[in-house]
Amino acid sequence: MRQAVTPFEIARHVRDAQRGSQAAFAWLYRAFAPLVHTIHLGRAPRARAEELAQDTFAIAFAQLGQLREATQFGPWIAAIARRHRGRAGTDEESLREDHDGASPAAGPDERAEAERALHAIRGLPEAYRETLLLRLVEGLSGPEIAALTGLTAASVRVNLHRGMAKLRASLGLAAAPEETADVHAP
Amino acid sequence: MSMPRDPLWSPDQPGDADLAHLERLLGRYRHVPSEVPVPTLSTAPPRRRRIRALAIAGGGIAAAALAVAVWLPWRLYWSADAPWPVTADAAALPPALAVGETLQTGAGQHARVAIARIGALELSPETRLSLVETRSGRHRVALETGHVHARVWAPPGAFGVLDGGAEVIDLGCVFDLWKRADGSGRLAVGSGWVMHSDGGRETLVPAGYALDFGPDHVGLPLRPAAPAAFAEAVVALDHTLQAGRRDAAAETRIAALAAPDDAFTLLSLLTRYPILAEGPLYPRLAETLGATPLDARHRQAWASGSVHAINAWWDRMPRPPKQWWRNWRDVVP
Repeated sequence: MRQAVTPFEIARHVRDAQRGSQAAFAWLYRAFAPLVHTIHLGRAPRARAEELAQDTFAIAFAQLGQLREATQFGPWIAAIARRHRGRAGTDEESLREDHDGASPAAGPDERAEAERALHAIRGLPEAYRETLLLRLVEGLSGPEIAALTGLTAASVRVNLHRGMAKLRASLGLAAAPEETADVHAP
Repeated sequence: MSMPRDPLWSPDQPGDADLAHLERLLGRYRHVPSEVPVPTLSTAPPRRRRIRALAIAGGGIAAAALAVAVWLPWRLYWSADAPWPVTADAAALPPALAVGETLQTGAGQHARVAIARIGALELSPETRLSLVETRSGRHRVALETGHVHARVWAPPGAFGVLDGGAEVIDLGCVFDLWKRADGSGRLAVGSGWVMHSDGGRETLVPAGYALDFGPDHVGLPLRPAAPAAFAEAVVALDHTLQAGRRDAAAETRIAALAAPDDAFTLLSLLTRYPILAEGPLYPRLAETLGATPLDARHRQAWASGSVHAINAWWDRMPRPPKQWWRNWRDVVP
């Protein structure tokens, strides 16, 4: 499993970026681009999500001097991403324009299936939606998601299990016992 | 004490089949690294920024004129044979694609290639793409196999994908193109229009429609969401007509199955085979286009292949291809 970024690393690169280090800007972009991208992907077509992610980083980097808690870069840029929706809304018509990097071997039918799955995730509550996209789209592990979002490991685990259970139900897939148990837990 | 197995928490652990399938399906939406965004730094105090914003708003017309006079020519200009920048999620790929060179993505690799300054191409894993020609007003690539997602905002014909003797020509739009090793493939258009040209046969495909093609035959534009019975009937009739035969029962069946959203499929079918205007497809198309009551002279002219008669109904299509600039959302920064 890949190593999750640590608060120490995040703080060091934020401080370096605040001093103008281009390498630090690049590190922050590489580390947090999956988080920002998934927030936008949850509400916009893929191509638009890529554009909005770029815009979000441009805004965040311009305001980086205002960030006091350097370790909180993840929650901070996530909040900027959620506020920055750009010109496009989340209407069904715009979301239908999703175009993706489908594997040529998979073909257009699988693309339609992928779009249905993505549509189902977009219908989930925000906490489940973003955590699940980080896991299923970006391929991040629980610890990596916790490190980027600033959520506790327990919160990430609950979001993953409950979100996955709801997604399975939405797609008509068989429930996994551990996820179902978690959904019904108090 | 060992931790319980949790593939959701640890992707390295094998999950059930549904989880693995969802991971594979959704992995295609993964973020493709791009250039690090440049901070939009501003040191002006809020009051000065407001004044400046008002000045900018007041000068809107001048800014628009400037955009047309400066930005658009800059966007469309490209030095002949200048390489296209490449960004990829793997270091193994080159940073640029020059004329005559081929870019090959491996399993799991994605790449983004700038189409000069007029747009971008996203390459899926296991795609082979060559840059054939690039200069202002004309940019051509060849897709050998794989899948590309193109996003272009430029005048019609500026960008095209060569496919053997055929060519997929962008008319200002967003589209996906799949190509298999056997020469077959699919073109799906997300916005604007694309023209598929093969040996003089030109097929226009608008947003929301897809076109299947093979080494020996080009299909007709169909909505991916069209009922299977309708799509299968159209494909079968296309092959029958190409073989020089009519099938009145199939024509009646297609007219009955066609939904209002299938107007473009009917229009393409009647354009490719004008003789069909004699049958039930003509009144069904007239109904979907709101071209009623029927005009017997127009119908007769269409059946005899009159370009004027056919064009009269093409002009009823919303947002014809010549209005490419209205797809301004396709501008890629």
